Amino acid sequence: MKRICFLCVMMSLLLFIAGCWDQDLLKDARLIYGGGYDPAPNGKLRVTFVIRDVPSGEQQSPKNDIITTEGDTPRDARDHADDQVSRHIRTYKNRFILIGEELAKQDIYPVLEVFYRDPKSSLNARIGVAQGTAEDILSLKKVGNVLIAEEIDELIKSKEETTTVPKVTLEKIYPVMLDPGEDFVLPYLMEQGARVNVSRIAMFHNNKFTGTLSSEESTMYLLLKGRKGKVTRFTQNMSTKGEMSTTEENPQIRYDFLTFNVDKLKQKMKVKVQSGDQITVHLKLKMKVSVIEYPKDRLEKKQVVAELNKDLSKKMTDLAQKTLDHMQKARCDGLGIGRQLMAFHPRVWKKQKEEWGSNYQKVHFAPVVQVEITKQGIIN
Amino acid sequence: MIPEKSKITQGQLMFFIIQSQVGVGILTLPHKLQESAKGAGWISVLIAGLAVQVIIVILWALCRRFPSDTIYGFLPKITGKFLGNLLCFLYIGYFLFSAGTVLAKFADVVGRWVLLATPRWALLILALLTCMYLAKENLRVIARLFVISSLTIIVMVALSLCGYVNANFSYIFPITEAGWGNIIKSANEALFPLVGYEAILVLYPFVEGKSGGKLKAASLGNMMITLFYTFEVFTSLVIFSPAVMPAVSEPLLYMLKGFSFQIIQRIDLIFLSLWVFVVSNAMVSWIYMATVGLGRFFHRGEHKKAVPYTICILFILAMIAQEPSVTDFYDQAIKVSHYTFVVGLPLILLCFAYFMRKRGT
Repeated sequence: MKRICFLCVMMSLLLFIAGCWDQDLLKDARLIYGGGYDPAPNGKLRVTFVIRDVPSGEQQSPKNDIITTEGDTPRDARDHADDQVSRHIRTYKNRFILIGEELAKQDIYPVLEVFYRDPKSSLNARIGVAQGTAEDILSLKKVGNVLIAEEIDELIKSKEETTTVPKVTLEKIYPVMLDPGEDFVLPYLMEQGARVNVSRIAMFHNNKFTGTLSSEESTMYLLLKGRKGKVTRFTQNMSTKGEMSTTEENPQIRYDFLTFNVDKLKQKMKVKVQSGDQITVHLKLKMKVSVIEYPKDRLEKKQVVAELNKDLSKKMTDLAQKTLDHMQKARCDGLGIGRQLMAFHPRVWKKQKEEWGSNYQKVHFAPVVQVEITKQGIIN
Repeated sequence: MIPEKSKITQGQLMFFIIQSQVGVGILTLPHKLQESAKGAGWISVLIAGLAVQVIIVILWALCRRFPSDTIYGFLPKITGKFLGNLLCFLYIGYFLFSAGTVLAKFADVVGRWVLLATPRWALLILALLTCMYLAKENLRVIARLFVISSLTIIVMVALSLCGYVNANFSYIFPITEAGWGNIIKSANEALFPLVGYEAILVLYPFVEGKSGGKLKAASLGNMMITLFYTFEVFTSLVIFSPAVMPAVSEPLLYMLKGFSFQIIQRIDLIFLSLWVFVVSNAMVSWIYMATVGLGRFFHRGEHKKAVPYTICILFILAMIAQEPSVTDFYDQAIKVSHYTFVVGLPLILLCFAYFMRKRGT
């Protein structure tokens, strides 16, 4: 009898404590799939949310709803958006965050803080900088037949695989953002026609947007960092007559280009401090590449290949140098030179950390790229 | 003296020690160590593990003199009946207090990470009911469950391995940035997440076999846990830059929050669920230690009758510890009492027993 009583009490108790307080039903939620942040003229934030709606009928496809509000902080703006939207706005499924160029030029940490503090936010959301305003890009609503939120997310993802932009999520930049010895870079999104183009990198220094790298340089940066994606393709003009651009001047121009894919990459970085605190960074890249197109020469002769190896090595070294120059100009310490100093030359770092931004520009980079052609497809 | 069905093997003793040692400390340990020892936090854990090893030898030497008595049995034999019984009650209090602290921290973490809106009492009741269910069983049943649930530790290690995708090993350099003094000082900090090995004081007579084997089992358990902690601390240190660490109080969970597999979006929740398992085991271990004592005094050796009101005491202890000021006080109290009851007193008792030539049968 006692036991039965006990069981009854337990059962009824369990009925009452089964997840009542923390239940959060999907049918009561409006899911945010992406957010865009821009500055508003009055010092406020202008936030654009992409809300995903799945219609109840099975035949209909999901739709995006775009809503723009203003607020003092991201969370404030979200609450204002909540005022205009039925049900509750939820961010569990947030897939990307887009920051407008103008806002990125200010410190972006305060904008992102809420995502780090909230236990329910999704830290694996991608993050990027939008040319112009984020609102403009999100207002496209659809690119071709794809909804804007999916398009941006998938586009960045595919560009990560082609080593065009870095793999960055909110979580990944968090340790870097607060670390004085390293800067992060983000994908740079441009509106082109009614489409989105992701091919460049936005550089940051001290959490402020300071410039962009061209698409070739972006890939080079990722290689210098040792972050090769699945595919890494470069096209180089191998013409011996210098860079002649039109077909009239050089009728053979179509034959001059060589496209190759980097199959294997070995990257080494050494930071050396010489007397007088001159910092030299030796960067060594060894690439094994396969030729993808090269109409001009047959590649069966060893001599031709050796020549090409030499030419490509030189061109790639130049590109690396150019990339590093641009990064130094933007003060973006994307390779974490400061980090290396901090770890292995703490005394030098102590002297330099106050003015690291400008000291970084004095660092001497010595990149060496060695290219070796190992594959050439199924014809010679 | 000890009923046959309560006997456990030496292997089970090892797992018992392991499960009692892994507690709430693991989540916050990297954060605390980084504060004082910087990149060398993982060395501090190793030092702490070594210190624990020394303490285990002391406890073992003490228990060895009374092979058929628990601590509650041999205390009166060493110090006389009155003082001995008084000390027994202090030990019971210490065990209960440890369990209460673990429970309070458990509720804090779960309340902050997963069940945000659930009131604290509900979390506590849920945790305590599960613990009660296990703690009222005899030792063999408890030990068997501990053996099985040690598998979760392997899964926890595997999950933390995901973190290495984002690792940056330069975060731990320069290793001696904080100086050896601070590294050793933080070993003190690392000692408290490792508590739980004092289970040997109560378990010793229940274990089969010779005394040497028991020491081996306890030491092996401690070694495994020290290595596990070192690994987790090291992982956290290479993933979070020194500048971020002060902001993240549960680095292990935080690093997993951003990962997602194909079907699982929030790995931190999986980790947390496994951790809940391990923490409740630690609590059961403390509850068992306390109730054995209570059972001896009030219920003629039946520890299970002491379980229900022990649970109530723990509930009250954990309900009190809601504000940071109280939890800080708890932490301090644990530190002091740990040194007194697990390091100081046993050492004195050992000397005393040695010089007075007191021995059990």
